[in-house]
Amino acid sequence: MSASDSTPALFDTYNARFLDPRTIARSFIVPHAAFTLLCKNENSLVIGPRGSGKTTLMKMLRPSALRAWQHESKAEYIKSLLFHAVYVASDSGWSSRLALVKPDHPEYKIFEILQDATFVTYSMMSMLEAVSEASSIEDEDDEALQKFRIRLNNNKEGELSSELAKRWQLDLEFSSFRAMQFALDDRIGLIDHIYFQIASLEKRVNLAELEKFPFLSIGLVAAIKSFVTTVNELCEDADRIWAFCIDEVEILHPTLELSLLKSLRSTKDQRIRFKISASPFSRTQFTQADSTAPMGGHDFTPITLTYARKHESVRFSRQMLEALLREAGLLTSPHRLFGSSRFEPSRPQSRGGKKGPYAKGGQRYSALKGLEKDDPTFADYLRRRKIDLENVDSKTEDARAEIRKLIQIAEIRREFGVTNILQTPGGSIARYRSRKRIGDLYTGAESLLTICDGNPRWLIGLMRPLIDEAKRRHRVSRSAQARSISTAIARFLSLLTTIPFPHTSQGELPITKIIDQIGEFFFADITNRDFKTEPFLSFVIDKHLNERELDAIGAALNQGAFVFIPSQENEHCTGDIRDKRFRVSYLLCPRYKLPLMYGQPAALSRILHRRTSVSSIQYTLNDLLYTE
Amino acid sequence: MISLLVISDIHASDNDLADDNAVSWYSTLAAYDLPTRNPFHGIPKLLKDEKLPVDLLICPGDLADCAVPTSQERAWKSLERLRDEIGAKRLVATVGNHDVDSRTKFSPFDPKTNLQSLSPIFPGLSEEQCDFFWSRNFVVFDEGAVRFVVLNSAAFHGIHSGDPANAHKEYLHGRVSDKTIEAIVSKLGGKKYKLNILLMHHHIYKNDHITSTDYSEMTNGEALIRKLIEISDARWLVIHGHQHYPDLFYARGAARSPVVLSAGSMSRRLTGALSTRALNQIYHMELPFSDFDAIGWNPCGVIRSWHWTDKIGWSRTSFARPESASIPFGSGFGCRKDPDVWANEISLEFKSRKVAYLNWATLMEHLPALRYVLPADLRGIIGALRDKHNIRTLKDDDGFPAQIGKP
Repeated sequence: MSASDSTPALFDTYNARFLDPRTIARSFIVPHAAFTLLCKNENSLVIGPRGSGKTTLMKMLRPSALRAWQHESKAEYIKSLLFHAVYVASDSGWSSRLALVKPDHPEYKIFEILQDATFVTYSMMSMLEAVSEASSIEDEDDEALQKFRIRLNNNKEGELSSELAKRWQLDLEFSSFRAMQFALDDRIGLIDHIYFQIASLEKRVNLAELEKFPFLSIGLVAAIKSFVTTVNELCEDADRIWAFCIDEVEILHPTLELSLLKSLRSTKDQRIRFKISASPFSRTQFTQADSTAPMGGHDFTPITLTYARKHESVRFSRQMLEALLREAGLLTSPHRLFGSSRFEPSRPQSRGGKKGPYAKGGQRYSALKGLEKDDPTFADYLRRRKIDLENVDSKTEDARAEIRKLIQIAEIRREFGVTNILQTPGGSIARYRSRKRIGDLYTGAESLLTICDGNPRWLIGLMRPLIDEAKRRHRVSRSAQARSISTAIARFLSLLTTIPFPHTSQGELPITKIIDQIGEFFFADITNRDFKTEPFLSFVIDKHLNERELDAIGAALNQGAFVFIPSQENEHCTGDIRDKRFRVSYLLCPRYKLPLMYGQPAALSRILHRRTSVSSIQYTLNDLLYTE
Repeated sequence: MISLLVISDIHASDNDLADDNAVSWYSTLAAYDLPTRNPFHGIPKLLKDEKLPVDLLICPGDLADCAVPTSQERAWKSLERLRDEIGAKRLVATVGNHDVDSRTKFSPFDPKTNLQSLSPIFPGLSEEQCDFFWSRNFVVFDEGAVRFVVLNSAAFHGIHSGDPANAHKEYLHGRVSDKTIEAIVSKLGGKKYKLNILLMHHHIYKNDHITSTDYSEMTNGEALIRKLIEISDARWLVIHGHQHYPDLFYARGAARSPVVLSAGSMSRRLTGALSTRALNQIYHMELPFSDFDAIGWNPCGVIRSWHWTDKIGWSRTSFARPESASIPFGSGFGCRKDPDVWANEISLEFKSRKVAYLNWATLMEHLPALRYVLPADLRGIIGALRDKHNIRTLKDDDGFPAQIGKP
């Protein structure tokens, strides 16, 4: 765990960590593909940055959440669930104590043992909570939920508690779940007490002395197996399956994180599944030689909560926004509320009546015609490609495909591009057309939905002020939209500035300076050079970055500043980020005046080691393209 | 059922809360009109969240500190607004020693002038009833099957002998005169009520919990109580404030002695020995008077209490707090059965069921009167269960018993 993992996240007040399952369920918009995968009876690794919905998804597997959830496909999803979910939240506090002690500290091993024991004890509490939840399902509840029901009267509960207490080495006042809860609380207190005795130098403790506390040797897997065996035997259902949903493993200490990730490797015990959530980057990585390392696609199914394809994130964001509008009592569509976006994909020609966007006077036509007039390199491109803007409207959608891909680049060049380049003795100086902070370019329904990048927390944070405005005025002005985007970006950047990036000559810089460099590089590539149909709009983390630089980039990735672009279906990003391709989050694109799309990759080390002012750009294509 | 919200000893003041010498957490300064700085703010939401209705809002006096007129008016307005916000039928108050300008700071000749000028008319009843109150030092009214007697125990404050040798500082204590007692007895007549409630400011008995030199109880108070018990079939609940020492107990006497709620102060800043033991509290009381016969105890009920912490707001007062001057959330009152007898009954009930454990809620369904034991008696029951029957008790989040079982 690095210090930056404890950085708060953007719009953290909407963090599902603080919400009970019922509250989460009431506002849950299901990301169909991800949730369907998560419901499968197999190990899963859910990967996403802060705010992408990992905790929400995990908590939704609980019967108490499913009970409160209202959705037309609820029964289907529940039917597909063949396991009981046990939700275990990680707590950075468990690891922060260990992080204060160096590995060469004489009592380091003892601190590690105490940390593990803390985690196991909290996991036991979660297991207890899960079986309590299952026993509280009643006849009146959904029929679909009845399969999770465990019928326990006082005596059975007593028997179960007594047996579990024996295996978990708990001293109970008497045999009940409540008594177990108290005993587990006492255990946490005892572990804390030992820890503080050592930490405050009140007492030196050696490993042999820990034998007084045999419970410290109970590992997670042993605790899980005891639980599953005991509960299944008592319920007379030997094959009942339990899925242990461990959330946010990246905030745990590396040793613990690694051991949890190892549990994803298929076990012989078919009653146990693991569903683990993690951020994309972690220092915790398996070595190449480690044959116990789990493999994605074989030992577990990776579920990525970021969207390489924009239309998937926009579709999900639209569903979320429509739910927020309904909740606010606004019976209108996002398009009506926010207006159209200049980046919107062109609509099919309507029958009779309204002008299509490529028709003379249409929005696309005007944009492209404007650029053709002002930008000789674009005009030249059109000539070379034999594209006549006067008759694009009459072409089919497929035939318009090439032009469609250019719209965003054309709009950026038109809005922010160079009007001329002045030649001076020192080199070229570019003059930019427009210096508006957040242009109207990024407003409108489609753009706003794209900017949220499929991140539920960002969407809520961005849209709530706009919905409040809509309740007052029934429409949301472009300036209000621009303000909301601007505020969200400012808040995001202020969080990101706490992540340090090593800089040889200046010590450390905030990671935002690096993101600025990347953003400015891409902007320069779009606007300063000749018109390009495929500008650089992504980067690859090549081998020339050192460990500390990787840590900083990784921390920014975990916050969502960058988004992973898989090179093939089912590729996922977890742990090591070298050789992987990323784009800048769409939320940050307005800041750098970038289109809401990704393009060709450039090697990151080269982006960072070059100045990006127009006057210095002399590099060739080979300098910039990522090569091994 | 009748529900009361009791808010006592507000001691409103225009003090600055940043001042270490501030006397009250209820500052009338605009800067402190915030949910975590103004105790009145959070009360409607508290009651709504807990789903607790209120029939009457009761204030046993001391609206403002040292009878400062502007603070007095402000506190009265706040109570009135609160009454409306919580949907209570009435606001009923009585006079505290701090409500009377007994040192004649604000009026050279009339210590009650500001109090009597408040709008709506103090103490919150009809004009006729208020006139009666001021002229007779008490008033009687009923709310359905419940009868209230509102007494002015500070009636003689501001009066003293002109002879320095015989000067008696009446404002140092409360008083009910023999004449007033006679008048109350006469007014109560032979009418039957399910429940009687006596509201006054001063306490009946000397309070020596904090200091052995307390002399501020109501003179003749015990005489009043004896008379009330004599003449009335129905039992009495006495509500008073004054000492800022929360307590819930049975008055001295025989089995029919009244239940006494000695309300703590909502917002007077507690100092000295008191500050280490007492809390600033408000109380919601529920009295199921229609079921007194079925329950077997009269009066009986439940008190839910919250304590105020500046910059945090209202919190439920836990039963698990060390025994001190605070009334826990969910306290019962009225059932006077001996804790040992209770422990025997509970033990028999537990054994008869042959279960691994028993929920306290289930016990209360079968032994309904258990709901109405005083906190001190409940602690006695828990102790007796453990020591005499080896039955252990586990608590809920409010510190109350939740489960019992045998190891």
